[in-house]
Amino acid sequence: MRYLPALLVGRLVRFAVRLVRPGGGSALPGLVVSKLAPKLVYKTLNSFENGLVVVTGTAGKSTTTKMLVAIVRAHGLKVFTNPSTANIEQGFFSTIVRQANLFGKVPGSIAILEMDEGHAAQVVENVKPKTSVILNVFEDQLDRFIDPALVREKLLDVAYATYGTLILNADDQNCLLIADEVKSDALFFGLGKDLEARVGSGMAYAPTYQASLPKPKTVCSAVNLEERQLELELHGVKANVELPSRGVHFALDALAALTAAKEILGDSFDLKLASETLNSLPPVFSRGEIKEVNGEPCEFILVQNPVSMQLNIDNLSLDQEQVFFAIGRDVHDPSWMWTVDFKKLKRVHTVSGFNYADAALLLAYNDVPVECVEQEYFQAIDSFFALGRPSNGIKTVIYSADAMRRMRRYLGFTDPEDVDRV
Amino acid sequence: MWIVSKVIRLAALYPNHLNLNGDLANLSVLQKRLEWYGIEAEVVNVEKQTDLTKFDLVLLGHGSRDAWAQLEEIDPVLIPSVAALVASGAKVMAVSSGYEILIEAIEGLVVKHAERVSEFKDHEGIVGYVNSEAELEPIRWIQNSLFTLFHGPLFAKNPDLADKFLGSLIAGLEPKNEHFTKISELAEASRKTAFED
Repeated sequence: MRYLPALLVGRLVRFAVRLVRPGGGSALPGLVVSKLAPKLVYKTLNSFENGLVVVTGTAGKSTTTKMLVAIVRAHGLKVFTNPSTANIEQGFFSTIVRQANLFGKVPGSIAILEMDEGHAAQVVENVKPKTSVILNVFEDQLDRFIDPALVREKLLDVAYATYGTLILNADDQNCLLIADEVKSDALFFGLGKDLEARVGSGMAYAPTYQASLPKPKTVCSAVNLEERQLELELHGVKANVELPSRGVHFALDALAALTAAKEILGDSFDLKLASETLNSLPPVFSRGEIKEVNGEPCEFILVQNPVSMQLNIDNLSLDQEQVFFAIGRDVHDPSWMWTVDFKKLKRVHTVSGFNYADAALLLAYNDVPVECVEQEYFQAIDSFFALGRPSNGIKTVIYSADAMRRMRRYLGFTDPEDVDRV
Repeated sequence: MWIVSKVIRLAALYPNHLNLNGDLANLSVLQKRLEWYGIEAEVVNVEKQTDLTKFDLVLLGHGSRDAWAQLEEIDPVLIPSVAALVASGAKVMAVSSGYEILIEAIEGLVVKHAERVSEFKDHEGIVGYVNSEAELEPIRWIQNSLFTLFHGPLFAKNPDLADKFLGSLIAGLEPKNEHFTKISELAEASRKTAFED
């Protein structure tokens, strides 16, 4: 009963926020509850019969968590999870406010949580994960993290705190350094030799600037990848999976999810059921999602860091006539955008968003022709969608998270986040 | 006046180690501005011990802790050679940790550390992002060299600073068309945005 008043207040705040901003997510209820009952989140996270699973690392957390949750649920377990936009402590509070009964108890026998790589270390001081999946370390959000080595150290704390199984990416030297340090028997996933030789890792892991550690034996590997078709092997058994979008990073996310699911479910794990579950996942939202606006199809692409921006620019069909490029206020220090190679971006129609000036400078110095630089975001959106059908390709929006939320809300998409797994 | 036939050589020192926050963008900006002024320039990546005096301009960027540790092993004369360039009156741009390490070598001191600053700063009209603990002036000139705590695309945000830096290399650079005006306006908007909530 001790959490009842805090949870009631949290619910009221949430209700009030929804009245003011329908469809809008908010950190406020979680913030309020975290102040009134700071230990609630740990008590709740410690209460799951089958323990806590943490998915962390720089990139792929959302997709991997979503895949893992779907597979585990398909096997009949009740899972408590967080929306990808609530992956720091405050977000856990919000999620708990939303789902808990008034005694602070949330439904589910296992918690599978995506955790921000900067916050996970702090959380595991109070709640020890049974299983941790550490995906990778990229040079990302350096205004927050300063140096990739510091991120690796935080993830090392997560590894140390894990009392069950540690699952790591065999292709990322940062993960190998973590395994080397903790000296426990980790399970590894990664690209198979043939595939690695053919496509390379395709992933710009943060360089460790140390002598390379040998690639360990993997329990789950990608044998082949053609567009969205992934052929994989898990503990010596082959399976085929259709990925929710194309890209080596999605294949690695699937391998991580399958490795973790097998570890969590043990003998009751059914690879056929797991593969079918992955096949039926909808395309990953906002990362290559196509929606109709004013009766015209438009592709929406979320870019959050140098890696995702580079991958998405490289994956663009050449000669797109109408590209909208919007960098919002979530990009606190736009410096990282200048590490991206823009050769494949042949032209941009409209540049906008809070950081429109930086974005326009970036494109100008990279020789990318821009038709229109518009400071007023909603005006830019209106003009862009009034353009009519492009003669080449389809309308394409490349935006950062803040620009995405604003545009989705403005265009009336029901959930501006649209990445909710709960 | 400059010699039109000469290709200006801009050296990026260890770009795989020292470009953590996009500091190399400064060379791309200089190269592009020179091109707009009608002067050919090339960016040369330096990845091993090299005679640095053959370049017109050298960038020592910002690197991670591990990157610097490895650089010390693979090129132990890097910092002394860049320090000698500065002393000779050549043009060096040193950024953030590059600034810190180079100034320690030049002045024989140990830079003090205070609480980390991670935000946009305005130093006499020059705006840039600082993410450092070093107690150093945000901008410092030694002869023709520019030392800056501001990382990332500083010259894109501050085109006048870019031209000032190029000034001692090439005399008579005058922005003269609409394109320069447009770029300057965007840069001004970008400097303003840095301090908006």
